[in-house]
Amino acid sequence: MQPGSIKNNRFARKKSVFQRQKICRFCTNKALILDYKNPSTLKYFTTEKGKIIPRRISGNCAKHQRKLTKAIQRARNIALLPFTT
Amino acid sequence: MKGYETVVIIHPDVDDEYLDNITKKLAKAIEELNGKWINLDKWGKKKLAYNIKKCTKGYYFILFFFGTIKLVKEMERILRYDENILRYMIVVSDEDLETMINKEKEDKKQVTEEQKPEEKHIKEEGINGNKEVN
Repeated sequence: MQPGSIKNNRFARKKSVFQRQKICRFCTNKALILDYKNPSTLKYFTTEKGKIIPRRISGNCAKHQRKLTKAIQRARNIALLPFTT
Repeated sequence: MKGYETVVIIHPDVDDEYLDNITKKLAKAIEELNGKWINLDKWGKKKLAYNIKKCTKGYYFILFFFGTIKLVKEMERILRYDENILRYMIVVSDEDLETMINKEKEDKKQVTEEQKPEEKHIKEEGINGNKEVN
């Protein structure tokens, strides 16, 4: 057994697949307002069906993703965004 | 005393008197329970993302106010027992309410300043002009 080589191979695989480092849009551009009253900015983070895009694809940080989901759910309750289309 | 905001959706086929009645009821409740009325934004008729009680459009407006929990429960009671109100949502507000209060005061000052030169001209002419009070 060569445990060293196996470990190196595993880490090599992980880095090659998940190497894209996306930047959080809300951390860099502080003029973007995260509010349930602005459905135009929230639409970019939903699919065509109305589902919320996961964080590993949109590139948001954890804090802003949590705020985003709350804002989208509030907007859905007020009929500014659909639940499904 | 926390800052709250309420979003209310009303049936589209409703008179203006009904809207005034609702705003008066809410203003009464705010005054009775020592709250502060900050601002009221009217968004007008908007298309809904899904049908609510077979309506495709609705009349939106937002109310910002300071208050306690008792005030919030009173407002919920008022909004729940109206048949023409489709939805309401009361939420703790994240916005800067103090800046909104200051903006309103500045807007009122500007309006009074604009009226003053007009009144001067009217006095010079010798006619009692229409004193429009907000």
